[in-house]
Amino acid sequence: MNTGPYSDEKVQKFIMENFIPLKSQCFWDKPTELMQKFEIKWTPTLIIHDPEGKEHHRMIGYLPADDLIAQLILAKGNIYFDTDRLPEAIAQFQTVINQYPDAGAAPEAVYWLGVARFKRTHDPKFLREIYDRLAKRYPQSEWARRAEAYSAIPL
Amino acid sequence: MMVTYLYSEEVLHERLPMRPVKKRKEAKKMVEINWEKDFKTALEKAKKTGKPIYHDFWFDG
Repeated sequence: MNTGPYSDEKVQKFIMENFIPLKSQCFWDKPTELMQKFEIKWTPTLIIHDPEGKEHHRMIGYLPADDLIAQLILAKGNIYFDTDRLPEAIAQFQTVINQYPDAGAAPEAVYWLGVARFKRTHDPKFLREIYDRLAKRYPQSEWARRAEAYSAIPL
Repeated sequence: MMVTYLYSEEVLHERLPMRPVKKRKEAKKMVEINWEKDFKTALEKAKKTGKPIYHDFWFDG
């Protein structure tokens, strides 16, 4: 059953090409083992696991197609980042920023892109760049506020 | 009594070989999401393919 965002052809293609799609039905009167294991308290809850089953990204609620795809690319970036595959993580974060600059995931991608670049090079200019980019393009985002500490880093 | 024969376009083309054959536009292929229902099966497929799992916890209410 492909309804909601899943009825969008772009979403269908993206999910089938990049993920193993899995649906788990929830029962509030008798929570399933998986509901308990992943502490599901509301639906829809969308989790991205790596191939070992470890959780790397979580979303609550269905998003419009472009926002959902941007979140899924960000999630792939998170998996690479969490497993120290920084060049691959950087490529995913950059894709979110380039292809989905208006998506909700974009400010977060700017943040993690800068962090991944800093971790790779140890050059603090990338942390300062996070602040500058977020303050300019996404000044109202929470991620811009998170990056405020980097504004003191000299260029 | 008049008898009408109905032929498909392909049959007509075969019977009238001189007629230029129009190529039909290919029907757009729809991609369906083939959902797994079992976490262990999804994990096995993820390990085989190297793809992460997109896990949708849903409620039918």
